[in-house]
Amino acid sequence: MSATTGGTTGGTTAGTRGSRGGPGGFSTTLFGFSLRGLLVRGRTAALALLPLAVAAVAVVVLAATSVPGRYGLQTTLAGDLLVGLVVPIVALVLGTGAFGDERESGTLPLLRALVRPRWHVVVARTAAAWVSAVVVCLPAVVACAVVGTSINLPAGEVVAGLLLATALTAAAYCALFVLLSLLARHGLLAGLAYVVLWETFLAGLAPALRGLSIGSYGRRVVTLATPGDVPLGTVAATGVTTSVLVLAGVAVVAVALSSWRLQRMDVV
Amino acid sequence: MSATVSGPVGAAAGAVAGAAERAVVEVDGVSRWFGDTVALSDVSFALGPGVTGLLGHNGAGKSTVLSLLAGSVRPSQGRVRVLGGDPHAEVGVHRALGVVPDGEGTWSHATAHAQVAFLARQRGVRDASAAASAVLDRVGLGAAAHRRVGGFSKGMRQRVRLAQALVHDPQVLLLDEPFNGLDPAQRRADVDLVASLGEEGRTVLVSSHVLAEVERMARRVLVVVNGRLVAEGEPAAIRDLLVDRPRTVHLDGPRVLELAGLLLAEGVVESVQRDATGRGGVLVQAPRATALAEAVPALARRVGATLRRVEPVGEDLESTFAHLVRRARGAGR
Repeated sequence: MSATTGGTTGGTTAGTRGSRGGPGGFSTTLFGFSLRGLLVRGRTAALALLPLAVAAVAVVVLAATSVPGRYGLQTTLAGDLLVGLVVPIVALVLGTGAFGDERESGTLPLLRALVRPRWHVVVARTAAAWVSAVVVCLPAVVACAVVGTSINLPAGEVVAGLLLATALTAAAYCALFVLLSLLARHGLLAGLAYVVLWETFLAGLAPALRGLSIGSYGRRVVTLATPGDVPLGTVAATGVTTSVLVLAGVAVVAVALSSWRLQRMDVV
Repeated sequence: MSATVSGPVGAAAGAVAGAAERAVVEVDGVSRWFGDTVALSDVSFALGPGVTGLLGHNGAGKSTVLSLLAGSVRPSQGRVRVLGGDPHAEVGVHRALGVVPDGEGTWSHATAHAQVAFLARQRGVRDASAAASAVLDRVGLGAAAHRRVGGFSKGMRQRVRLAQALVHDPQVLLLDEPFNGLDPAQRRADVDLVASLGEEGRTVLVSSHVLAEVERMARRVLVVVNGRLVAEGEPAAIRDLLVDRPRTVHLDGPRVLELAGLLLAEGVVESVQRDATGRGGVLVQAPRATALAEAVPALARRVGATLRRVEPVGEDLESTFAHLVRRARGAGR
């Protein structure tokens, strides 16, 4: 073949050889390749500023308030900020990016043309979005845990409650936004409208609507990590166990629908 | 040497029935529309081993043909089979199918080697890493294999796409304008590469809007115009079809009027008119362009005309293809 492609930057390339992704290693698995694709982008680093901001708020709370004053603030931090705002926004960007990035870069046809069932691709990419979303949210989780233990809540319950709520809410949102990005070309905008209009506004208007809001189930789960009797404005009426099942169910159904969609859709 | 000019309604289906060897790729009565736009209309053909060129102007439907074969889109009507399977629904087909799709199609965050190895492994290649290294060497990217594709030139990304399509050693290759963005030296090298892929016994369909390029690698050419398959045959026959057609030519120079008169008298041209754009000279209308080309030198000598300008008018692919469509319609009646 011609020598036209080589010489531009001289012989500096051989040095990086072998430094990443061994032969047939993690980076060539469906999940590993998807995860790298989502994390490598500068977008994810920018996204991490959001949970870091929550952490900063927590530091201010710890410095400026007395212990009794933190009861209500813990509810705001964990329920409204972490589960109600940070998790959906992070999941929105990463969930719609899982296939939206591929559509943008023209690589979606390649992912439809792998020699494996298309639901494998959907599961791997949804899982990659989910894992990266949880990782990005971790600073906020840690901050909420510190505030929660500072008001003498049991540390085990606080950590478990925060992790469970974050992981499950992120799973439901990620799966939903993956589906949305496969159904609509402008999945990010549609998802943003959904989060802003439905999750943060309309669903809070009437108790009957809360049953249709992912955030309200997430906020119910996070009550494990907030002071017991403080009522949260928009929690679902169901118990924690039911809320956990609902969130997991939403994720599973959304993944199933995404798989069906990827199998049937045209990629142009 | 033969070329078939098919009528508008599926006259090309005869080519399917006539294929002697079992077809690797079969397209049977396929139409595809997007909303109100008809991208393909009742197209039928079959492909066997070797390189076949898919020729047509931009928007003629080449990419739709390739997307249908690649399984990226489904036909609205008709049937597409690659190696006996439906490429849209059956993932198994992709074990032996390699595609360079239209548009971009590389992961800029990954190195060339990482993404080619990823695809190899996901298509069931046993030693994905070694296969990726080998194919990147073959397309001339051996030295850049471990650099991120985000920093690559357009030509290099095009090579990555080719490597992606080739890494699992596919029996069928679909290449959508694979030479776009390459400089002439790269084009030559890649034309040779595609030709050699055909010689290896693979079934290759490569689209292009440049006949000269297709001629250098393809044994057979399909011509698509406005969503219809209007002609198919050996490259030389297609060239005759494209070149030997009515054309208007602008002639200018001393004693050009005498020459035009002689051309008219000899029946080489059908009409002569003065050039209306004020450049001087005349426009002659020739029913057969090759006859005009043969006649002009001798007749110009006979009348002592010196030609300053011999220039085809309206000479572009659009008008060439428009001619083919008219001709196909005529043949269908």
